[in-house]
Amino acid sequence: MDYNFAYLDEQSKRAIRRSLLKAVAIPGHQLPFASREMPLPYGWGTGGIQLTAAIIGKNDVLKVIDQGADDTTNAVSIRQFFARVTGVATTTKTVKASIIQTRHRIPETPLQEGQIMVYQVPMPEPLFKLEPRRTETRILHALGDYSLMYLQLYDHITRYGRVAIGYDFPVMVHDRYLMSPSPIPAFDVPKMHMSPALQIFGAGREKQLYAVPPYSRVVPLAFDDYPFAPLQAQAPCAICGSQHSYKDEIILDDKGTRQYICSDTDYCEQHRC
Amino acid sequence: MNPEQQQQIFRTLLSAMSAPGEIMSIPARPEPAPLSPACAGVCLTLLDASSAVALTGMAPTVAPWLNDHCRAPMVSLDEAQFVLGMGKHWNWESSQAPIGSEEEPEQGATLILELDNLNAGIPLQLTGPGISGTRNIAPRLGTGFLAFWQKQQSQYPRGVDLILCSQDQCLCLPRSVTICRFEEA
Ligand SMILES: [Zn+2]
Repeated sequence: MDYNFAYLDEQSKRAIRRSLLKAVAIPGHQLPFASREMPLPYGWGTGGIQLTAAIIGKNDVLKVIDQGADDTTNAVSIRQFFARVTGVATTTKTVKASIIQTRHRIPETPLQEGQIMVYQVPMPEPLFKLEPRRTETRILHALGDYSLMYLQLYDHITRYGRVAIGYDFPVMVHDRYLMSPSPIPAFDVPKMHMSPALQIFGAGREKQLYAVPPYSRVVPLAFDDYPFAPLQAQAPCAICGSQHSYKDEIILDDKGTRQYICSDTDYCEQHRC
Repeated sequence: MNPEQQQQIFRTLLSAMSAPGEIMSIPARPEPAPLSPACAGVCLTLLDASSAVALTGMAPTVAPWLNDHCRAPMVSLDEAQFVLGMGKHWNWESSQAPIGSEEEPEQGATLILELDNLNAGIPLQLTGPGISGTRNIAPRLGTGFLAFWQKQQSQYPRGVDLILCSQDQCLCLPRSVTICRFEEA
C-alpha cells in the first residue's frame, strides 16, 4: 500500500492547518473540522492522530503516551503508525520529543518552548453532561455563561464537602472560554497554566479541535472559599521513590495490599538511581 | 511548492501565531511570484479551492497567480476568509473584513498583509497568550491601526487575525493579543 506522507491527503491537512491557526488565535474556543476516517478505530485517538498528521514533518521527534506510559497497546500502535507513514524518529523521552501525543496524562518532566502537546479528546464539550444539546452549549460559550458548571461544583461542595471531579476538571482559558482539558487527572491541570509548550486538542468522533497557546492562563474552576485542591496519593513511588509524581495504584494480593508507582514511565526511569 | 515545504511553512506559521510579534523566517523559497517570498509561501501553504480570498490594493498580476497556484475562489471583502492587502494602504478606519459571530468567531478573516518593513514603525508593546511577559514590535502599519485593534479587542472573541509579511519574514498578531503604544521610560 502506498501512503501519502503522514497518511492524510494534503487537502485535509490544509483544512486542519487553517483551523489550527484560528484555534491558536482564539484560545480555548472549539472549532469544527472535517474529521476523516483513519486506519485506527474511534476511541483510539483519531482526533489527536489527525492533528499530529497535519503538523508533523520529517525533522520531528514523536513521543506517544497513554495513561503516562509509552508501552501500552494504544501508544505503541499510534507510534508505529506514524513511524510507518512518516519515517520520523520516535522517542520515549519527554525532553527529546518535539511532538507529544497523549491520552490521559501530561508528562511530569516540565515541557519546553517549541514542544507541541497533542491531546486525544473523547468529549470536547465541557458542558456536555449538563446540557447535551450542542446548539445550546454553543450559545452558552458565546455568552460566556458558565453558571451551569458553577452550580454543579456548588452541588458537589454541599454534598461531599469538596469538588469531587478527579478527571477532566473544567478550566477557564484566557479568562474567556470554559474548556475540557481532556480526561487528564486534576493533578495535571496546573501544568497547563502558562506552559511554554503549545497545546492542541483533537476530538475525532465529535469533529472538534481547540488549542491553548504557550504562556496562556488556564485556571481550574473554583470558589474563593473552596480553592482547587486535587486529591493525590501521598505515598512515594515504590520504584523510584518520587514524592511529587502522579501515581497509579496497584493491588498486590487478595488482601488488598496496595502499592503506588509513577504513571509517567519515562519520569520514573529518569528518577531511578 | 511541494508538501514538505508547505509543512515547514505551516509549522513556522503555527509557531508565529503561538508567539505573537516574533519575527520568523519563512523557510522555503517559492518560485517567482508577484508577492514577497514570505507572502507567496503563506498563500501556497494555506490557500486552496475551499478558502475564499479577497484582494485589496494588490497588483493586477496577483489574482491570476493565485488562481493558477492555489485555485482559491475570489470573493468580495465581506465574504472573505483570507484577505491579501498592502499594510501601508490598509484602511483601518473602515475595515470591511469579516470578524465572525459570537458563536463562530473563527469566521473572522485572516489578513495577510505585505509590509515594507517589520521593524521600522511606531514601537508597540504586546501582552497576552503566547507571550511570557511582554514583547515589543514595530511593524510599519498605517495610521489608525492601534485604534482599530483596541476596538476589535472590545469585541473579542470576534475579530481578525494578522499575518504580516515582508521579504522572507513574517510575524503574526492573533486577535487574543493586547497591543498598546510602547512608551520608553
Ligand atoms: Zn516512580
